[in-house]
Amino acid sequence: MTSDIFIEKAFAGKPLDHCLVIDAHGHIGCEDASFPFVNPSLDRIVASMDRMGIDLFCVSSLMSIYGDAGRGNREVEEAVAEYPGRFFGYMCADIGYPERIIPEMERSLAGGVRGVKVWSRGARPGLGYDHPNYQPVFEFAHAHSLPVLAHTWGGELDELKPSIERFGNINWMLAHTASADKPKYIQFAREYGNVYLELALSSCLRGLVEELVSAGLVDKTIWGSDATFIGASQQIGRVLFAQIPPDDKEKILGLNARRALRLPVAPRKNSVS
Amino acid sequence: MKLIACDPLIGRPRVPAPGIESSLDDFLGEMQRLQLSAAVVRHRVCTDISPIHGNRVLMQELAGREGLFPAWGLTPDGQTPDFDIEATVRAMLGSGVKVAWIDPTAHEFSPQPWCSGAMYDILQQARVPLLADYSVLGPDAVHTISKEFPQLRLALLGVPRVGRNRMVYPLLRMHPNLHVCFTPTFSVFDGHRDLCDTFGPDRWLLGTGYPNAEGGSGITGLMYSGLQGEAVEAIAYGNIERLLAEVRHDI
Repeated sequence: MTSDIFIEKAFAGKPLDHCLVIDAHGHIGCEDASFPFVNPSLDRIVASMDRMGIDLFCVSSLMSIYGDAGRGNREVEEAVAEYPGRFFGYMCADIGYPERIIPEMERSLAGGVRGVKVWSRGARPGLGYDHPNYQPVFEFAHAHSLPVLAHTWGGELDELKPSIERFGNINWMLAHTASADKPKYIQFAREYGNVYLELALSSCLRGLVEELVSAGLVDKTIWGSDATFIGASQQIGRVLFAQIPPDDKEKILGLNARRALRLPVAPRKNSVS
Repeated sequence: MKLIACDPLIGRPRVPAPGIESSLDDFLGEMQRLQLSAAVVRHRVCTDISPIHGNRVLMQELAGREGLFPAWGLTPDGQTPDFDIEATVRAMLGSGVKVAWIDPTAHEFSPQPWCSGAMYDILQQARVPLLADYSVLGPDAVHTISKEFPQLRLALLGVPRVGRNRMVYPLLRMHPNLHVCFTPTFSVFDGHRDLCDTFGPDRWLLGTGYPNAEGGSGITGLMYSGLQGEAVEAIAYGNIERLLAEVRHDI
């Protein structure tokens, strides 16, 4: 077997201290009626990041994805401020209350949050991404060139399509790639230059990362864990053990997300390549 | 470190899964790639055709292979010619098989003791680990089985990723011989460590989710869990080795 530093570090349980690692999809907080989190404190999250060598964790608040954007976005702002350089914030909008959307997004942007998270089944169940209430959200993201991480499960891709085509300043990250209708995810990433595929999926589909790379999407695939709904320690194994070259792993683990998120900072670690 | 996977299921499904191979040869390749030193292996034919035929195919395919521990699929009525579960388990033990598994949904029987009690009783006497999917059994059946057969080594596969699970934790608290296999789908933030902190390190087994999951996820789930030394070794291989060593052939 050819030497692969990612696999070596995985077997040893050592942090990936040789390359940039960005977890592009996660949450902070513990407000969920059906999900008793183990211990999602920021200290525990950062300790977990350090064990794996994750530089940056991109998060929205559970409060905000379930419809309390004001409190949740502030929680994100506080995390970004408390751990400088370790958290990237996604703001959410209360989709059910359109009059609140822009004021809260402006406030959150001023508070240092540089991304947008949308989850159509969370904030306001029953309204798809093609509902008019989402238009101000996407217009705001477009006007400020903010990336949008969109929860998807196959069917939402068609709802997003008109906005993907209309708002070209947005880098769209389609979460949970291949949860359903895998060909459509691949089609979108190929067709639209500003669409990226995010990997978080608890089923850890065997061969998916390899298939996306084979499909020519090595520069469009982004690792995300959906922690703390899902364990990042399991999710990262999907990339570390993928049967692809180490350079491709480096792109998927961090370099692609840095581009999609338009991060101004240089990687804090040395590159493997 | 030695790694023993406890959940592989070999055998091609009747409906091909594009891009996912599941033959013995493919699994042997996965063992090499993931540096697995051994595995407890089930065969899909047990559910797709019958446990009688599946166990026979399993034994044929694994014959002479080092490091592959066959797990027999059981039903509470046993197998031909006796249809006597005690005789079936004795035949299993006589074949050197030390692990069993059940799929009550596929084989259309109730996992409750009124239907499957004799099976649990003989497995309990022989200290044979019994693998079963949590979602198939359901928490109430797990409780009833473990309560009526407290020495049964019941190991749950497919435990969901729902954090400090409100049903699994009480079950583990009440039933000391209840085990959990950490399959990739048990993708819980700080889950391994919390279970070890709460219940000790001796009740967890390693899973790789073969054939459907990327097996490396199960490995990183353990290696980046924050657990150290003996706890990692117990989960990686020590616990299953102990369970196998405790199986009694003199029942």
